[in-house]
Amino acid sequence: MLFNSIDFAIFLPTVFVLYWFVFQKNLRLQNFLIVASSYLFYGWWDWKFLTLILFSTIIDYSIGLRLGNEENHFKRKALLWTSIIVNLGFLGFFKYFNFFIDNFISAFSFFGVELEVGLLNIILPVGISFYTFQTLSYSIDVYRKKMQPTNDFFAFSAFVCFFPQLVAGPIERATHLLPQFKNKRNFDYGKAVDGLRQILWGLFKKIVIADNCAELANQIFNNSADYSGSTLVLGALFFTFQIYGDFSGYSDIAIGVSRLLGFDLMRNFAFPYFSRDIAEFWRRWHISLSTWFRDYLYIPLGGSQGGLALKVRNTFIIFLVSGFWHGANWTFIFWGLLNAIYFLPLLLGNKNRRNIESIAINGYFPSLREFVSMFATFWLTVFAWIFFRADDLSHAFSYISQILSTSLFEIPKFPGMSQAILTILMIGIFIVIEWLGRRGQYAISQIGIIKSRPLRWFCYYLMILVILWLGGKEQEFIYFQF
Amino acid sequence: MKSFIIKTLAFTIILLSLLILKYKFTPYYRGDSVFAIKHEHFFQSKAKYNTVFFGSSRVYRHVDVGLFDEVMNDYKLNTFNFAAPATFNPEIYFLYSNFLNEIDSGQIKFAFIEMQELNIISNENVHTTKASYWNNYESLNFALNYLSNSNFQHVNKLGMYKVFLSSFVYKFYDFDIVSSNLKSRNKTLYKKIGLDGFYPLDQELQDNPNDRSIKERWSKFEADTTVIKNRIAEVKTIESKFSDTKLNDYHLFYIKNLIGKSFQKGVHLIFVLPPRLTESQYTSLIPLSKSIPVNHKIELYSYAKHPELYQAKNSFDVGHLNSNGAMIFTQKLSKEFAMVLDRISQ
Repeated sequence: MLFNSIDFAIFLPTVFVLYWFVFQKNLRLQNFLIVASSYLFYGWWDWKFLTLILFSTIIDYSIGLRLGNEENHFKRKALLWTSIIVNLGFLGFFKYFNFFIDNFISAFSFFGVELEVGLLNIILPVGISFYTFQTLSYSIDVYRKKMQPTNDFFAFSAFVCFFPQLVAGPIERATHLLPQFKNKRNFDYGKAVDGLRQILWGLFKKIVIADNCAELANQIFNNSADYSGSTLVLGALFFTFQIYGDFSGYSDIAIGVSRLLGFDLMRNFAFPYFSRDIAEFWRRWHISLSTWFRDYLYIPLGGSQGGLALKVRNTFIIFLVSGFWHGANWTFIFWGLLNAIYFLPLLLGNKNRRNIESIAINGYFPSLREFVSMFATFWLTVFAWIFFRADDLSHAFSYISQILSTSLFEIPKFPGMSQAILTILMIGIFIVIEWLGRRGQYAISQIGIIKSRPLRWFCYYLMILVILWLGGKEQEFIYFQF
Repeated sequence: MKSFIIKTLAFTIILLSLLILKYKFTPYYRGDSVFAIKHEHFFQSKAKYNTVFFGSSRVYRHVDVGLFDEVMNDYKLNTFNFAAPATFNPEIYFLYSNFLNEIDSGQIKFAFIEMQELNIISNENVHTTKASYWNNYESLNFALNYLSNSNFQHVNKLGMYKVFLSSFVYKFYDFDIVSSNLKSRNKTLYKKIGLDGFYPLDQELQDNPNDRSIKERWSKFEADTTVIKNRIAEVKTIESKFSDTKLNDYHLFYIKNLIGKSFQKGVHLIFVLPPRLTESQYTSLIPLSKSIPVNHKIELYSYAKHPELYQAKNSFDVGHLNSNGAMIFTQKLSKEFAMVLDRISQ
């Protein structure tokens, strides 16, 4: 079920009441409730997906226990590789099988050999990219002896399938999340209220910003040949905010829901569009994934130690794999490649750790230098997002070549212009709110310190009304004929 | 925890109150732009009309009110066609009930409602203004009671309960009603209000030759007019076996109640069972019609009695008549109505 659905609006309060009023006294039962409700949440899409997540849970739980009892180095390694192969095998099959077959056929076709290999009608299980990485972090950390394996199956199952972050992250580490399932949770008023506030902000980003931008971005990208370069720039901008609103909005809702239940999840987005360079962008965008790749792929490969060739190789591997993780299409790989090209000069020049603190830390406005850096970084990411959104590489290149034509200087014009103007206005307001709240965990966290309750509630009601009024597309009634 | 629950509940109650408040500033017919235009026209000249029709496109496109008044000249009727496309039950009952509350006693002498079964909201339409604005407590109550008295299988009923409940909840947070109330359908509709709400499909196509949706409907039917034979077969089948079908007692109870409420306002309410419905629709409607008092119904569905209403030459598409068909339908309606009036006067 989706976070912004009536089903979830009924589901969450029900789970909340059962969690804190019925099962509060028994930790095991509380964890069992998490598992049951998470399976219900996940199975709402398709109950058949549950067998996969259950199998993955059992495999990694068992492997964890075996690792805990095994001292032989080779056997430990074998167990770890079993976990990796099973988890990545599932991921590879469901997400990438058709991609590989397609490219296999194309490769042979290039040499004049026509293959008749059938594609499978594979449904991609929701969230598989997230929970496989999460369970892998457990196996790897147990192997590395960073943590002891757990013999509490319900706690482990709850860690794997925890519904707030199951389908869209943040990708949690076992060392961070699993202990929270093993310790008693006490209701914290401040945490719960902050959680609700973060949910509200997440819904605002998702429904008001992302959904409105999506409609416009889709219209422009799907008909890109018909529009001027300036309109295509608008399309790229709309997608830039669509993906941010959607992804970070979901993360905010996930973190907020978790706080309602007494859990702390890791931060996943830290105002990435205010970054002053690409390295800073990647420290602020999808933090859980980039740190996962850093800790479980980049560092084992040698990281930035070693010679120039090794640094370059590792950087490209990380970004290409990261791109590929996002989807089975060459566009995602190219997007990753582009980011590697952006990042490499900073790494090689040892400038990738320059901008650590928040922008304009001592003032309201950025300095001229900060503004120019932010502006340049923003447009580099917008350019890269074109590849992320395009249907295929040729679509991306034709999109870009059309931008770089004389029509770039025409006034943008397409059927949704009035909606576009309203959306741009909303984005402007959104950027201001994000800027003002950039020192907090999320943009409106500071509302909590307003002393006046009527004023706080006024802010919340205003946001809710904006969400209801301006959120997404007016649904068209479909008239059935008799 | 107690403080959290109390404050959250208080916040939610205030929020719901704010959401309900929006209905105070938007009229009851907010969700249907065609009805909204007709409502505005009617009440600008309300003294003029004494008879009204409510229903879906089968009334909107079929009842030529000018011709109706002409045929019923002796009774000095001045009729307005309130029907609108895709207006089904319980929406029709909602609109009519609110209309009854608005008019003065004795202002309207006769009201006609197209007889319809309960329209199950499709999943695609559940979160639309059109499918939810009418879903107040009375409408929801009607839908749920109708379903519990119906022949649907229990498994299917659960899904149907859910869509009506979802639509009811959606009404609270639907803000599209505010913007939809500001929209009009198209400018030609304003022109056609001069025909007192009647607008046949072929006329609309003539006025809007570039309207793809209407053009496609006509083209599809023109390419294969034999589809009407299916409707003929369906109505013949049900005519022969309707006695085996179950009456929805609740629907009959509701209709009788509505007849009573109308009488209190001086309105004689008549239900019209139209032609060209499907077999499943007639399965529930014919037993209902047979149970409605004879002076409160007009049946025009029978192929044996009204074959002209099933002829391709009188049709626009499988479900609708063209102008010629509408003329025939109106004449037949008038004739049946005249018989009702004769019976009343005796």
